Amino acid sequence: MLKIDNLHVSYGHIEVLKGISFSVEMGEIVALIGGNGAGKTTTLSTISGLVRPTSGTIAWKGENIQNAAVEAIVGSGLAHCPEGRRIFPGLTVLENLITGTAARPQRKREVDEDLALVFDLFPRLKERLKQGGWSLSGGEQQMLAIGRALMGRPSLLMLDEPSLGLAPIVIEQVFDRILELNKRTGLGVLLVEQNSAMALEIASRAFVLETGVITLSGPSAVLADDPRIREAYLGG
Amino acid sequence: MGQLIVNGLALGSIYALVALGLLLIFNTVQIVNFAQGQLLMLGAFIGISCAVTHELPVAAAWAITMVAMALVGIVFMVLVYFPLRGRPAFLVILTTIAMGIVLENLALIIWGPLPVSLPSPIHGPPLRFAGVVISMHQLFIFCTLAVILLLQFLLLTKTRFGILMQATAQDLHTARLVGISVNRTIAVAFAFGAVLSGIAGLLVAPIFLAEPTMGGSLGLKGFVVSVIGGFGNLPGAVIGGLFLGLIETFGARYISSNFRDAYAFIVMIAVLIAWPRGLFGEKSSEKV
Ligand SMILES: Nc1ncnc2c1ncn2[C@@H]1O[C@H](COP(=O)(O)OP(=O)(O)O)[C@@H](O)[C@H]1O
Ligand SMILES: [Mg+2]
Repeated sequence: MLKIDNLHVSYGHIEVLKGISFSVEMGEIVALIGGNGAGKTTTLSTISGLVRPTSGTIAWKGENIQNAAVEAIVGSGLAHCPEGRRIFPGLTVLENLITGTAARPQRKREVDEDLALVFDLFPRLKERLKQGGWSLSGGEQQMLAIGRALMGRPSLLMLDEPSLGLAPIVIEQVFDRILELNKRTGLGVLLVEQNSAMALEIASRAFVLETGVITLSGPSAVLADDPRIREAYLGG
Repeated sequence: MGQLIVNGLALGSIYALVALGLLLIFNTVQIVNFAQGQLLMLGAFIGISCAVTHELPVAAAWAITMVAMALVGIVFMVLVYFPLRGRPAFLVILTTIAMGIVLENLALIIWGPLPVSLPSPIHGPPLRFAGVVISMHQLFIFCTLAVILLLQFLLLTKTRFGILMQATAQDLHTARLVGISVNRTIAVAFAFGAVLSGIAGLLVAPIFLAEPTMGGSLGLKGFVVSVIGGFGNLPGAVIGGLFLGLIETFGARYISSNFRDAYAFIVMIAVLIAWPRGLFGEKSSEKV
C-alpha cells in the first residue's frame, strides 16, 4: 500500500536519510525504530509532503506522491499524528477533531460516524468535548491527536512517538486502542518509536533506522530477540 | 463632557478597526503589516473614485471598495508574504513598510495631493439627548464596528472554515500537517484584514478629508492600540482603540491639540511601563 524506495532527504548540505526503502501493506502494523536524531520524524514528514526528498520515490496506493501537496496526501487517506502531539491549544476538543476533517470530503453522515468511532475508542474525549486543548493531560492530548488524525478517514495512520512523555500505564492504554482500531477497521499503522518494547509487541514487522540508514528489518518477534536490538533499544 | 466621550469613541472605533485588520494578519502569519494605514487610505480613495468621481450611490461605492480591498489583500499577500516566507520576520516587516511607501506614491500619482471628502452612506438629523449630539455618521461608525465584531466572532468560532483559520493561526506547521490548505486560510486572513482597513478608510474620509499621506499616522495608531490591548488579543485591541480615541479627544480639549498625535505614544509607553504585556496580554493560547 505504501512503498518507499531509495529515499534520500537532506536539510541544506546535510543528508539525513541516505536511501531508505521499506513498505507497509494494507492493514498491517509496522514499527520504525531508531534513536534520537536517526531520521524517523524526517521519514514521516517526507511521506506527508512536508519535506521534499532529494531523490527516491514514495508510492501510495499505486501512485507516486513524493511531489504531491500535503493536503492531497492527507486527503487520500494518509494521516500523520505528529511528534509531541501538537494539538491546537486554543481550540476545544471538538474543534481540534474538526480540523482533522480539513482535507476530506464533507459528508455530514460520514463525519458523524467517524466522530462516534473516535468517542467510542476514547470516551474521555467525549467528556471533555468543550474543554480547551491546553487543559488536557498528556495522555488525553495523545488520544486527541490520534482522534484528530482518524477524523481524516485514513487507511494508514503514521504515529510519531506516541508514547513520548507518557506514564507506562497510559502508554499501554494508547497502544491497546491502536491495536483495537487496527483489528476493528483494518487501519494500517506505521508506528515510530524510540522505546520499542511495546512497539515490537503490537507490530508484525519492524525496521531499525540508524542515522539515515535502515540497518535491520524483519518480523518483530525475531527483532525482539535480536541481541543487537535488545542492547540498543530494549534496555539490555 | 458627554460630547467628548461620543467623539472619542467614534474616533476610537476607527482605530479599533485598523487594529483588528492588523491583528487578523498578525495572528495568522506573525507579520506586523506596517502598510495597514496605507491600505486604509487606499480604501478611502477607491470609495471616493466610485462615489465622487463616478457618482455612484455611496452604498455601491462601499460594496465595490470592500470587494476591491479583498483583492488588494490577496495581491499584497502574493507580493509581500509569499516571496519572503520563511525568511526572518523583520525582512517581511520592512517589506510591508516599503509597500506602504509604494502605495502612498501610487495614490499621489492617481489621485493627486489634494484632500478630498467622501459622503457618509447615511444622512439625517443628528440624535440629541441631554445636550449630547450624535451625528448619523457617528452612529453608523458604532453600528459598523458592532456588526464587524459580531461577524468576525461568528466566522471564527461558529464556522468550520473559521476553526481552520484559528488552527492556522495557532500552529501553522501542524495546520499543514493535518491537511488544512493553509494558503487558503492565510489568503482569507489577508483579504479580511485589508477589507477591515478599507472600511476604516471609508469611515474616516467623511470626518477628516482623505489624502495620500493620511495612512501613516492611522496605521501607527492601529499598531499602538494593538500593543496597548496586549498584542494579539482582539477584544483588547477594540478596548485599546476606544481608550485611545477618548484620550486623544480629551487631551486635545483639555491639554493641547498640538500634541494630538503624540498622546498615542505617551499612552502606549505609560501602559507598557505599568503592564509590560499590554492591558490584556497573556496566554498565547487565546490568540485569535
Ligand atoms: N528542520 C530541520 N532542519 C535541519 N536539520 C534537521 C531538521 N529536522 C531535523 N534535522 C536533523 O535531522 C536529523 C534527523 O532528525 P529527525 O528526523 O527529527 O530524527 P528523529 O525523529 O529520529 O529523532 C537530526 O540530526 C536533526 O538534527
Ligand atoms: Mg522524531
